[in-house]
Amino acid sequence: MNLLRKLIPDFLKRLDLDLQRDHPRLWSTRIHYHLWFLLLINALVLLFGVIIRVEPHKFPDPEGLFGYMMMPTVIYFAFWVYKVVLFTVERRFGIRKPYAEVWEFLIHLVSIALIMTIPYNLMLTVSYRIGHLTTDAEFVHEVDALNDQAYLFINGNGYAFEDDIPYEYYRTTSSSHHYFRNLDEYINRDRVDTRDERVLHVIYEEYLSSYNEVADPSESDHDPEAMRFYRAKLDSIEQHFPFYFVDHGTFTPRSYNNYYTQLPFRNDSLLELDYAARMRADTPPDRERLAEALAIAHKYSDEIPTLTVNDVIGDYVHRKNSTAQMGEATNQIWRVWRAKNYNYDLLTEEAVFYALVITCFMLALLLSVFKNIHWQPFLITLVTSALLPAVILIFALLTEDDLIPLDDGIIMMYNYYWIAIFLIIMLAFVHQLKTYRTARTVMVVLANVAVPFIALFTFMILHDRWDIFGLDALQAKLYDLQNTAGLSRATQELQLQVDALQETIQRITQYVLWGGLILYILVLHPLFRNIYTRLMALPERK
Amino acid sequence: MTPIELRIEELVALTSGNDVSLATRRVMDICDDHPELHDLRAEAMRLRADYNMSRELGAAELGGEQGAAFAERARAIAGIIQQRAAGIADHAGNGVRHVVFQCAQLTKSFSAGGHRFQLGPFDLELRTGEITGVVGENGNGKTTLLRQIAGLLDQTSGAKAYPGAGEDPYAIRQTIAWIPQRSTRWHGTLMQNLRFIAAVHGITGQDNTDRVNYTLHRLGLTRFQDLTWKQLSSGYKLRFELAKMVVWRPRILVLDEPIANLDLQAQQLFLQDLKHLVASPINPITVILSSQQLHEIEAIADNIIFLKNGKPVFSGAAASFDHDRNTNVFEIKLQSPDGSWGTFAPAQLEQALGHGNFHHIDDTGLILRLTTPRHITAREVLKAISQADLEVSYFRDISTSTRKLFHQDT
Repeated sequence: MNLLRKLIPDFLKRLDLDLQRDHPRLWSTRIHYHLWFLLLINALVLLFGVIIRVEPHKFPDPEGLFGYMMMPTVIYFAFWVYKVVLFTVERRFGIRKPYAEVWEFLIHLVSIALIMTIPYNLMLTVSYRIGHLTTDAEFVHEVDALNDQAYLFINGNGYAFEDDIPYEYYRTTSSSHHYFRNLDEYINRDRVDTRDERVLHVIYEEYLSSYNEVADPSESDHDPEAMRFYRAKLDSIEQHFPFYFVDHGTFTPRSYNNYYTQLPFRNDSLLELDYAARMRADTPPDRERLAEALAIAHKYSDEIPTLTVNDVIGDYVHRKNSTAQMGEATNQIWRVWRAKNYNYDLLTEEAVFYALVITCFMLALLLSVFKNIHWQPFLITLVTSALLPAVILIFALLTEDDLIPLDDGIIMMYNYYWIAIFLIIMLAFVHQLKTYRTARTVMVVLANVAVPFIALFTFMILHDRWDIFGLDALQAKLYDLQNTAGLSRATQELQLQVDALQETIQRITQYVLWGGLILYILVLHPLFRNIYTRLMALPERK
Repeated sequence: MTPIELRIEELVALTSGNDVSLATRRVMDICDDHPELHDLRAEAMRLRADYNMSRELGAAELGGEQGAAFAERARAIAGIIQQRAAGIADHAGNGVRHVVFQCAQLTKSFSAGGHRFQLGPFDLELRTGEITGVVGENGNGKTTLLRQIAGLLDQTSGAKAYPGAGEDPYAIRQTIAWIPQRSTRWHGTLMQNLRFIAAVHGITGQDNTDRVNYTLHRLGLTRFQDLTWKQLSSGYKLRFELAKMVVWRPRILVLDEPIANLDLQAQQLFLQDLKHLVASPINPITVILSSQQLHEIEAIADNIIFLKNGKPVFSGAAASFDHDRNTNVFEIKLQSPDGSWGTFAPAQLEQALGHGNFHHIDDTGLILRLTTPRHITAREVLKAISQADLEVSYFRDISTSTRKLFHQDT
């Protein structure tokens, strides 16, 4: 502790005294020291991130570092909680001010959120360094160079010029062959929101499937006439729609970028065309470009066998699997690409954001509870929270279908809901207590945990179970229409209605979630604090 | 003489006496209690702080040249106060004692292991500026009563109220300071705790600094301000608990066996401080404390509650205890001049007093308890013993002490 104290500058010590003297509630949050130590820790983490070894062929996984850094982060969090709970205004029966309690909660919330800067700092620092191992221009050039020579490094089913493969063979692995009517369809081929069920390669797949059903002479469904018909269809598509995509490896940025449209690199469809053309024309490999590609591969991986240009060309000429083992290099390039775009789930996933916010909120809520009640009911609440799901599950399993004509999941959901409602109603009677009751305190804490989410819970039940927005009915109607009218204008219009309604529901869900949290912080939190202080002030029975 | 004149006279006398520690404390008190003397507060605090810092840890009060120097400084301040005496107003509220706690037919019942215990019923009023001592043997309900008054324990029947504090339990607890027999661990330094506690009770800014410093110096904790719980002896832990409570000036201070673990000197100091804090004319507080040290408690208490089997055998003003008695009771221990008697035999005392001058003499094995008709006073008993040429090693007149109640039951 003395060592830590030496790390605190004089001005902060003076501020500490002033805060303690003039703003005890703010002082008790230790926000001033918290910010200072976070600054120090983050400076250390930054330094660590700067000195950690990052080279093209060897660098750590930023997401892995995030995971490792969670350990010291949790330790710091525990230390911070220890410091924060030492001094509480209400435990000393100090002067209460509801607005100050709101601020206190918000400061705790922000303090907890700020602790997460520690792992994110390391992750972002290392990502930045990885992303800046090469300039964007150089990186694009390297990717293109490897793409250009990719046909020399195939080690899957062997080198294959499609005409050399029996028709039936590659057609059955058609998932790698996609045909498109035009460039737009090609570009948008993987965008879920614009995907048309009837894009060309889907039609192609259907023909192919039909072809395969009738092509095998040993099968009873064999039908030469039908076989010729479908083959003609397939040939027609192949001849008239040249924008096709051959999945020839995972090293291209494009293959990872399937789910994202903000790829900064050049689209490689031209490379694919070039590849196809080269295969058809049987153009000899370009030795200089191959040498460059090999050099790039070695730059990104020291595990790639030291092969000469002749070795690679030899494999190619003899139609052997490539022994170059480019996977390690292409994997590194893919990781560099992720780093350049900070393309990590922890940064890009909406679900991670929600999880973080709700976790921070819940921790702030529990901290506030812990600071304002005895530790016994707090622990009992934790144990109850752990046991309650098991009890409810057993109840649901025992009663499902037989006693209650519902699915066990639904029974559990209603159980949770009605328990929460009961706990919240019970709050209205807390003020009648004349003596402190542990059981009642536990119920108050459980109600406190449920309250911020009860509106969302109610909304979800009304929506999911009672279909108050009519979404299920509308979707059923759409399904019927699709079956009867196919892709008619009416179907499309109804689909738009369904989409619009889904968007509205999603928006309302957001409002209810965030509204519940904000309402809790601004209004309900001071009310709960009032209940806790009353409970703590009540005399005991023994 | 007005109360303030009396107080100043007492102060001047103190600064001329030998108890420098008490003199420095009383100088602080008077400067703090009267706004007309607030300009002297800083000097008084400095004096006390210097005094505290001059003493080695655990050392006796200062004497000799060093003590004289402090006494001189105290006299100088007392002289200024004396000069200003005419301008110091007696506070309007001085002497008015407000009821801060009252209960009627208050009881608390327990049942444990088939044994049923009931405390009360009690009718009780606590007033500002008064000390109430709760005495009785172990297991007679002293702590239970104190916890009820402190708002920590509910009652089985009866009613209690805290006039002026409202009905809300939190608001009531905001006016009560509770010091349990064993202090629970606290965190941080003394200074941090005092500042925080004062601040949460609304004493902020310069007032906070003044109040904390006043409390630290006044209670002799100057040297300990940067120490933590682990670094303090149990005696100083108690003083610190007291500091924590008086720094925010509660209306009611409840102490459970506060002097049980203190040495004699610390007991005297603690009780002295308590008496002075209670008597503050500006911020008088109410103190109720329990103890086994009957004489010490009786020395400072305005009221005494004696509990026996949960019942208040006596509850009232200490001065009024047994004032209509028919007998006097004395505790005596005599020794033979040559030590041949060992423990003195009752026969010698009977012979010294003469028949008809006493009702009976009990030999407890340690002392003799003499009961006489009321007209036989302590002076006459001592005179008779002296004339018989007996040597007294212990003598106490307990005629007006609740200590008698212990004896009645043994």
